[in-house]
Amino acid sequence: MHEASIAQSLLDQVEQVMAGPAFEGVTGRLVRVHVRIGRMTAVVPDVLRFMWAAMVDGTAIEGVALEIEEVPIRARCNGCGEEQEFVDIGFVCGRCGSTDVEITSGRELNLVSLEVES
Amino acid sequence: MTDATRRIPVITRILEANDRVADENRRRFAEAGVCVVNLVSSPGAGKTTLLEHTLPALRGGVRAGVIVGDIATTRDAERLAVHDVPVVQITTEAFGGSCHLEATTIRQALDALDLDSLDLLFVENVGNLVCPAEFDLGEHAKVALLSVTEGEDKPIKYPLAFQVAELAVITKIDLVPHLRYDLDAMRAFLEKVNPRLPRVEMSIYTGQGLDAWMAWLEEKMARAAKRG
Repeated sequence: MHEASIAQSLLDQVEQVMAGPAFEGVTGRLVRVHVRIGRMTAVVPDVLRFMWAAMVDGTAIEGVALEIEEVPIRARCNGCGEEQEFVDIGFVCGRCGSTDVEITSGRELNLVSLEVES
Repeated sequence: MTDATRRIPVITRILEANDRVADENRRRFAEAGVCVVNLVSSPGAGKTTLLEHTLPALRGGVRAGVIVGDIATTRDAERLAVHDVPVVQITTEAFGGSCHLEATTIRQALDALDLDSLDLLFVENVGNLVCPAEFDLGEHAKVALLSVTEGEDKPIKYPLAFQVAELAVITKIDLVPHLRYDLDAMRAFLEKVNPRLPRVEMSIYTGQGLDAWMAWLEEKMARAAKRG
């Protein structure tokens, strides 16, 4: 259940951003927090959403939704250079059969943007 | 997004705070010339037993220490302390019964250790094959343990732990004749998840694999010393 720590880190970051220069002059209410979660992280989006809702409950941003964009696992083959998406683990290049592949996306755990009323 | 709202871009890593502390830990380890190895596995795979047999086998005056994480009790620390090495027990209960160690918990544990007097520091993570994989502690390497009694397919069920690890230690290998265990299937699953992951098949009781493990540790320490 490390989604709880991740939700806590996210909340800390959101609060920091809202208190920082990016939010200067912003008067609109925060309505949504956008994050990107790679499929190769050990994070379950539903659990993270649940933890987020529990975490913001009773804070100044209670009810603010968490929008999760899931990022597919992509890797580049060091053998033939082909870049491809992997839905299953077991990284074997679909073109040349090499197992020497470099993950290029899927490990993301990023806060992307804060959506506010304009 | 609707017309009534707009997005303020941020782009940060959610675990930035953890990673920052991990970098700070890494710097301290490098300054003190300590090689740090983070052991990750399911509960009962044999992390403490491996350490109980590793500590007395260290040669050449290697000074080791251990940080042990558990949700509760100091049983592991008591088992290890008899080997006359500094042991710091972290019980994550105080942190809400957390299932893993984070960089800040390690930083707190470092207050109780004299890093300058150590060459090698083991972190025995909380028994859990999922969460510890996600958190950088500032260590030099993660080692994933997998006991044969857990079944052959754990690597594909919990791939991240085996993808972030630099070594897989297959424990309790002496039990294979008593189990319906397919060694080749386990090897193939590991290969599938991480073809570049070296593997040591080990039995503490027969001694199989112990030399290979000690050699791996020595090489890690030599490399860490060079970098530091």
